[in-house]
Amino acid sequence: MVEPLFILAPPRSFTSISCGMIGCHPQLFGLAEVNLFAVDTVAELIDMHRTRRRLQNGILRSLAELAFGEQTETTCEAARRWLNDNQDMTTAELFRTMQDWADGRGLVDKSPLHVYAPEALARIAGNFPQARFLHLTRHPGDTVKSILQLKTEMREKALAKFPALAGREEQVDPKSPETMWLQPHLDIMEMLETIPPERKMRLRGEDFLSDPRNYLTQIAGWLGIRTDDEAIDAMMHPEASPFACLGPANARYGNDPGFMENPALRPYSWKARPLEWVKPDGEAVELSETVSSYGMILGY
Amino acid sequence: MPEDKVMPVRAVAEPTVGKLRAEDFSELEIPYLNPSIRTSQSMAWFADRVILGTGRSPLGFLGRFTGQESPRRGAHTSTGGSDQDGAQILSFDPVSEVWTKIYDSPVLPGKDGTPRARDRSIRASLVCQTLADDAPTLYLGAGSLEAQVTFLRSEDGQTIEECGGAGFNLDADVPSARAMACLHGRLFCTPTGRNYGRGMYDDNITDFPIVFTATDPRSGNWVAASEPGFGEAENLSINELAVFEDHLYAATLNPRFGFQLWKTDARGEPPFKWYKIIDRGAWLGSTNSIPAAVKVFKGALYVTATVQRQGRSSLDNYGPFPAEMIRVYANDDWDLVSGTARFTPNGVKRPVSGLTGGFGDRYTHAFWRTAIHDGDLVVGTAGWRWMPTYLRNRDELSDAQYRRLCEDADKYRAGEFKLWRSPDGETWELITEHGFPGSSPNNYGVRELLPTPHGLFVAPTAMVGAVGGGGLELWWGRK
Repeated sequence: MVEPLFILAPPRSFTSISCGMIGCHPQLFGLAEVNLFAVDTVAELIDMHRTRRRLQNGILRSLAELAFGEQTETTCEAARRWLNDNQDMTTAELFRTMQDWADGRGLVDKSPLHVYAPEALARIAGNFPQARFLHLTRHPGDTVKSILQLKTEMREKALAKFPALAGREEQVDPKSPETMWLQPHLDIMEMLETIPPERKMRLRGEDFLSDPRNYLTQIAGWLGIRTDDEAIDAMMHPEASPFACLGPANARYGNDPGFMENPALRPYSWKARPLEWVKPDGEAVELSETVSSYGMILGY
Repeated sequence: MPEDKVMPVRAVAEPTVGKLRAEDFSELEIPYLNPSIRTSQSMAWFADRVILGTGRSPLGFLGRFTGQESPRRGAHTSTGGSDQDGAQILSFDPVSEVWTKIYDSPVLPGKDGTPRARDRSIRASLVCQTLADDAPTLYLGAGSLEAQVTFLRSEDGQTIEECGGAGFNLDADVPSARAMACLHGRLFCTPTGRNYGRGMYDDNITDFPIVFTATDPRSGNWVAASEPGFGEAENLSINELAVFEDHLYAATLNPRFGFQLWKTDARGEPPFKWYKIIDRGAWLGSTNSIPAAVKVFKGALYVTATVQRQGRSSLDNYGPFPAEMIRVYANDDWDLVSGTARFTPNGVKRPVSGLTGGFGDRYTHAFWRTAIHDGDLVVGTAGWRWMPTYLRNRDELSDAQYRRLCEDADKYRAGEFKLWRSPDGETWELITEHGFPGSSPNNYGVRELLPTPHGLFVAPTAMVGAVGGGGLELWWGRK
């Protein structure tokens, strides 16, 4: 059995396409956003889903795909019932069950909630001592810009649906780089201090996407799985991921909307740029000394 | 099977029988030194003698107060000394064990009219036979306190003469020479520092990040052998030079993105055509910003790198980041010797020694000097703990992380440095882990290593000169 791989990065750090690519290796299975380790038990997971309904999409789709080989309203509903019937299970046991259902393939996880809670990272490290960790990075300014852009888009969609929300826009937090980019990376790095060197690697997402075949081959080699052309060719097609499109009506999401809309690999290039971030109004602001320093530490 | 499971871990703890151990080193008494001397930034073996170039403590004018402001432990805070104490050069005959003083910095009126030593430190030296020399000649760069660098030369190891011209043939504030190399009858050298405007704070950078060359250094005919920074504005200095397989290699200081390694065949007329073979601190980034040492050893060029420590800003206030070592082959392929495993454009790199940075010690700040002695590559280190800048203003860390850093900082042992040895770059063993018995608690790293037919000479560097309780030590290791 191939041990699981956890991709750790703040949101909008190329995690969806990276998980899509890596998870398409014949010996791996890239999950939707299951967010399991944000809590301890399945009961707590279901409780979390009550208040944040979209969060259940990823786990339902993943369970349906693993258990039945397809995601339909029927299989996702079956997955929901199965979760309800197994509320006393820990989320680690649930993950192991999914591993069993993956027929020896290693699970690849990139759940965004994990990096916003040090206890989630600790649960992963504590329960999966043989797991591997890929610390994926993106330029701090680009990450923040992308998160704010997504927020704006979601806001516009909400306004279209609920016009009464107009005029209640959220102010942009001047500490966005600290909260959205720095803190998750700090938590990731602190957790990774406890992980042996051979089980963790860091990679700039910009490098990855600029030369995907090269880095996919290296990642496969590091994971100890096939590096032949057939395997790497499969990884070059993230659109083949079962989570590269919208799910059935009762579990539509569970992945990055942009990725689901346009999942294929596209030519990408990136040039080093200043350590600054651009506010939605277009104002370029220098990153704080701490964020800049960690930007440099992470290769920017 | 994951590839790392077959990765050998080759580090060994027990010293090899017959090789140098810490107890084989004894301290040499050095006569003649003025009380401000605290370090040696260059040593050479020439005319059957050790040529010991020395350097003084920072002075208290021109903003040169770095030594006094450092939050170090266990050291005197005053660098002390007289303005008239300047750089000196001594020679030592290991057969007769006789020292001779062969150079004293001239004392000249300073900018303010006060008599002051002209030379601060002999920062570079190399034996080279240029097209203009009849025999191998010793060249030295004497760093100035207020003026341009002065190049010196010696044909016999006993007498020193000044080369002509002004420094690098520039009308500019270029006080010091950093690296030297010799190829095709040319002497290559790189400048460093700036006396006015930055002071010692940025002593590692220059306004002229250029490789210069001269076929007749005595006449001062220096010309540029490269374009500034190899065309990249972030290259702030050319820190190291080496000749390997008939090519000249240059390693740059690049605090923004990490050091670079460039290469040229140096054929034809300067400036030469260079190309880059290592970028972005060997793809680790800014924590590999400054190349510390380069050495050719058993078919590869070994390059060490770390983050610059000036005690005041930037990544110095984070970390600790351990030193790394890579080795580069003539075909431009390269290995990570000690450091963080990573993906690179050239494939995944795992340390061939099986050791993470600092040979497994994250508090090893620099593999500062390297030498080849008795068939081994020898590495002298400097640590992080003597100047724990990484403990200031670390609000971003968790309480547990910060506590761990503080606990680790308490493990500081005054005067510590390490000496390592390897027969192949892959198996490493310690010669000493905590300096030499009886060496000064003011020492914080190995600044020079000199292999000779008579043994290995080691010059730790001290925070202050003798007048401040430190001073230069020279240790002689022989079986």
